[in-house]
Amino acid sequence: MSELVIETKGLTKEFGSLTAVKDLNLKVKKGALYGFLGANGAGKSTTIRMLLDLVKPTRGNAYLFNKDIRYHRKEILRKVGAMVESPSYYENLTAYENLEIIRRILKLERKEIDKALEIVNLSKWKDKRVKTFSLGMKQRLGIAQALMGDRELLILDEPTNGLDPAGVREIRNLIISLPEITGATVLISSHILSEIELIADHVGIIHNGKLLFQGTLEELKEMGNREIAIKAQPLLEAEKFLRNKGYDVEMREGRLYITAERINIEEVNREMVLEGFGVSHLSENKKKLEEVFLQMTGGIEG
Amino acid sequence: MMEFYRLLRGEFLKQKKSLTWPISLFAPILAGGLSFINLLIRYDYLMGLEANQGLSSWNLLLFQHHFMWFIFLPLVVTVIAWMVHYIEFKSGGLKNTLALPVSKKKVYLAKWALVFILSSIMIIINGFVLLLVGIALRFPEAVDFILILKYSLYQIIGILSLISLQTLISAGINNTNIALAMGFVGVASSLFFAQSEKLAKLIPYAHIIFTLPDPTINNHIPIQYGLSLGMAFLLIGLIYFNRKEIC
Ligand SMILES: Nc1ncnc2c1ncn2[C@@H]1O[C@H](COP(=O)(O)OP(=O)(O)OP(=O)(O)O)[C@@H](O)[C@H]1O
Ligand SMILES: [Mg+2]
Repeated sequence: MSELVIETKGLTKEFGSLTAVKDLNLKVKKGALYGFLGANGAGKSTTIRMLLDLVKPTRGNAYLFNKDIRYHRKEILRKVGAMVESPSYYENLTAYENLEIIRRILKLERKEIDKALEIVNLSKWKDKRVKTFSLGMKQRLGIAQALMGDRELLILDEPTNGLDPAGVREIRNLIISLPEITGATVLISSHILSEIELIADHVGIIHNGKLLFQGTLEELKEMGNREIAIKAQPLLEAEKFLRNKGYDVEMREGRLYITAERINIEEVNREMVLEGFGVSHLSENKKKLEEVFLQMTGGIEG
Repeated sequence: MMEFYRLLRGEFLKQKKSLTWPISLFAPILAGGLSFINLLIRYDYLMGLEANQGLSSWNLLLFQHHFMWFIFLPLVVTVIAWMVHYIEFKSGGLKNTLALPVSKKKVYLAKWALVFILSSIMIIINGFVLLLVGIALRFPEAVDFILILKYSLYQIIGILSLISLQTLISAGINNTNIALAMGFVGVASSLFFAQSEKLAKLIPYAHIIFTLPDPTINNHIPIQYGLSLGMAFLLIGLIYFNRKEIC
């Protein structure tokens, strides 16, 4: 068991009759690049706010570095860099001055500013007023703010929100590089699956306030039904044979497709060969993550 | 204490290149300039009025000045309090500041202190400007330092209640523009409240009206109620803000 940087137990937040976050048991391991995935309104930001003690949970607890945020707020936040919902910046100030405010509050050395600017690639524009920045630059400034000081945990809430494809890519590459540059554990939220797929190694899926899945990206890909394509002779007999074995079989364009939650592909091969079929092709069609995701979230609503 | 000081320095930096400084510096100069013109033209006439019999030139200057300043000062302080909070509102709220390892109470206190410092600077400049106006007009009497000192001091204390109230409203209502509108309405109706001393005591917007050092004016109001209501609203604000959910 590796060390947990974030752990929530039964974390719940109600806004009147609306339950924004329900009984959440989040586990983020040290060193992970954790993707916190959920549609708009799923409860990502509310969860992040509770992790940072910006809002109080209705029930349950949030532990960061094995300490309850409610009782060790300052001690914990010293190790956490965060960007909540959207970056905040003072438009009348330059990028450097914006970071200078944080430097003053945290009592850091001047070189921390240059370091953060360097990482997010804003050094060239550090003396320009933020007013003149593009959305992507503002987003990078927001990340630079979270990087100030030696943070062990970075929490970035939808850092690519509203960016054009080039901007998304730039931020994505930046985030992927963060664990190596900073040594920090990173939690990033997003409502875009493909983005999480490209960035994260661990995934938590939240839907209507509930955590539907938590594990590695690989484990997520294994979820849901698998499909195996088979080319065998004689085809019709093979179909009949597999059906009798209890598989869900479909015939399309001269191939047989079987789908099931768990299929042992070697087992299928052996059975067919022993029965005397000529098996010329056997392959697993990896289900697209998107289908897994839709299957998962769709099932709840239905 | 160090943390508060660091937060305050952060607050000052946020105001760099913003209008708060020019407004704080320019408002008393503008008001003083108007008073200078007023007395330059009407000094003899005003001194000759029966109502002003027995007043020294310095008293007359303050009287004349106060009629404009008691509205002007609270209005400008309201605007400054609004600007100090609006800058957060515009930048997406205080959520990212409060995700830092800082005490929420001190964040609130730093904002309050910034408004108080700017207000005090304004009041002190106002005193200096009055001094210069009197000297420029070559008043026959010696410079009445005590009068101007008292006037400024009463204001620094009397403005506390308004600052604490406006800070509380700005922090309480997520839309800071509503806090600004409430402040304007409060200041605009302050003269109405001031007609009853009892009411005036409880209405922070009216406290400044009673800061003119004169035997006919109850200077205890800004001192006692400016201070006590100022502290009370500050305390309420601190407790409220400390428990407030930051959305
Ligand atoms: N302060 C609040 N008062 C009432 N309801 C709220 C509040 N904050 C959030 N909610 C509700 O809680 C639910 C979860 O919101 P949240 O912002 O956590 O979602 P999200 O996953 O971050 O969505 P998005 O992708 O849009 O940012 C939403 O239905 C939202 O309307
Ligand atoms: Mg959100």
